[in-house]
Amino acid sequence: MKPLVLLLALLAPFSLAAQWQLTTTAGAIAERPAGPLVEVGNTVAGDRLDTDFFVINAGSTPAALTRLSISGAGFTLHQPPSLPQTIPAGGRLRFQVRFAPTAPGSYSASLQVNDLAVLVRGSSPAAAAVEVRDGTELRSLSAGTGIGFGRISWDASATRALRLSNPNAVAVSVTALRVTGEGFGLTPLPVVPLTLMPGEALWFEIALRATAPGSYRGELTVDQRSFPLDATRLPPPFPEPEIIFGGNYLDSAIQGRLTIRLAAPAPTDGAGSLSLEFLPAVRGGDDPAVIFTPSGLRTLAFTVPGGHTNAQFGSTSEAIFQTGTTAGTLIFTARLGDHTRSQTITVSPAKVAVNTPHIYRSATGLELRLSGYDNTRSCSEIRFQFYDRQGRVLGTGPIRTDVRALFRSYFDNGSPGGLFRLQASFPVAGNAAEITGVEIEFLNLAGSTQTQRISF
Amino acid sequence: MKKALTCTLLSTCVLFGADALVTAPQAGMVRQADRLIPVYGVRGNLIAGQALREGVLAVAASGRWTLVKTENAVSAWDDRGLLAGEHEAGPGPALFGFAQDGATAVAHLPESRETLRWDGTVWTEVPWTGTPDVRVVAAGVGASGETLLGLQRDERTWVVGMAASGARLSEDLLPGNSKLLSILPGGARLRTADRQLVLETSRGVEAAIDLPADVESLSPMGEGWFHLVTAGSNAGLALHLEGKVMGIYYLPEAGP
Repeated sequence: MKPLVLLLALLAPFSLAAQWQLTTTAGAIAERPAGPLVEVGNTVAGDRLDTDFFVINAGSTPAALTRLSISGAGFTLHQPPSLPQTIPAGGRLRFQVRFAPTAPGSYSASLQVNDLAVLVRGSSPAAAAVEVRDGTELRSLSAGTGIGFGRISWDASATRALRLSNPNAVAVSVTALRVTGEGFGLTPLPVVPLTLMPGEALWFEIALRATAPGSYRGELTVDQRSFPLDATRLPPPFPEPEIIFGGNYLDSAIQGRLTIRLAAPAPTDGAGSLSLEFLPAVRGGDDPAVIFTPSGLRTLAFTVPGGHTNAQFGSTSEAIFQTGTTAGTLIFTARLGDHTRSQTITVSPAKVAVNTPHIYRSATGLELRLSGYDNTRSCSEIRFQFYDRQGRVLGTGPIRTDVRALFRSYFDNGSPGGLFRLQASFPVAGNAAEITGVEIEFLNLAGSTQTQRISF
Repeated sequence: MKKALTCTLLSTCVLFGADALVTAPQAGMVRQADRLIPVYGVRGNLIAGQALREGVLAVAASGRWTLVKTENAVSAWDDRGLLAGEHEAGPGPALFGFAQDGATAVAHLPESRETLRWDGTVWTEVPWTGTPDVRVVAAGVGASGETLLGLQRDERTWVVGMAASGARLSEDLLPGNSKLLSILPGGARLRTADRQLVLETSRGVEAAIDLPADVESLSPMGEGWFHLVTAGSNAGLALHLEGKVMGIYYLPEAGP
């Protein structure tokens, strides 16, 4: 550097029309005042070097930045800020100067910040070009450009062919050529330092040597330039999963069991999911009891340990599910790797099912409570046949009760599937103590069902 | 609704009341984490409802009453969800048991060693204090209305019957290899033995069923239903007991 330039560089901070200060990180990690000449450093042709500059309003009032430009081969403003821009007192504005030489040599440009011009200088040494083969094409790589291997099958070899060449008119040398990162290697291993005469080239390959499934990151270094490496080794395919039910679950209100078994031992540890979908066959919509239990959900995660054929749901190999109380189809879908396997259970429309009814004597007669389900949600009539102490039919026949509207209103207003609890009173005129038994018959679309005689 | 009529020659007439009601059947109330959860359904088809209350240390229900132990009180709630009676109590959980009619109940608080009776109106204390080496593992109400406590000492378990005064009325030693889980309404017992749940009355073993998991405790959750708290599960199991017929079902977990 010439003495005059040195002297000017010592005049820090460099002032722009008294109001402005200019600082930069050029050539240093820390920000420092910029002088009239800023050396941005060097980079090889085809690469780029971005340098941060900061224009600071050192005055006590806001000021407008109206001009920011750079002129000179190899230099541009990278993503320049919009102008004019008012910078508050004490405020600062960051911008970047990009140096992107196209050939070896020295470069300079004039950076204009409002009324002040700063000389920006950089150089480009002759260096080897780095190219990667993409199919039949060769693609030039600038520093920082990634070399991707993509997603590689578990049993496939994976290499990328690269070429070092000398497009310059003078010989270039390469003193550092290496690959870092677990799983990557160079083949053949070039001997460095090496010299490439003008027009000469050297081919080599980077191989992914890792065979275990997973993501791999590495880096190719050519002297001061580095190129990220990225590869994903896919796991071996899993055998197809099969859903095996623990019984014939064709009825409502069943807690069933299933397992998932693979056609062959899993080649590695894996994870999948089992989902349950319900398609009701009757009006009224979904059934919230069609779930896996105890989770209460309709999707379960499972794992398959490498070398095993049975899926594990947490600590158990069985999944428990409920068939609900609505006629319809349960669709179980197991997903593992690329496989999707579904199996269905069809719960047919059935007659009303009831638990043992409870009859209580009240001051005015009898109280009935019973729980059950109607998986057709169509209960239309209930018949009550009462018996006296001698077992004789009371009256001329059963009490026939039209409950169509009662049940429809219940099922249409968010009932939990076909579940129901019926509470009814029976006012008795006469000697209620004489009534000691009842048989109850329910009618729905699937037919009629009758309880045994309940004594009370 | 149209009323129907059936009459005998003796003029005993039965009508279908106009007040018939269809609702979701409730199997009972359970405690999951520290929440009071209603459970709806029938055998083989259970649904957990929304949490009704938090900060719950123990729960039992008979269909008629829901008994709740919180940090500093034991309370009784009716089937409409209304508070019927509350009693200040020491910390920790509680053991509950009901009478056969589901109307009266007993609560024992192991940490404070208090025993309380619920008669449908008020909680009253039963003047009983065991020796420090005796642990109460179950509480219930006998067929004659007496308070029953399952006591454990040195791996041996007794069921002791007591009058309201605390006077001892009966004492029954259980087999040595069993773990008493619950005293049923009327005095029958549920205990575990060899990975089975055993129903036992004064006549002896009435029924047994295999357990799918290790049971830590059992409490009444509704009419004919019991909640089995199992190791490593928030939800636990539900036991349905009708006469001598037992069925065990998986309970779903309540949502957040």
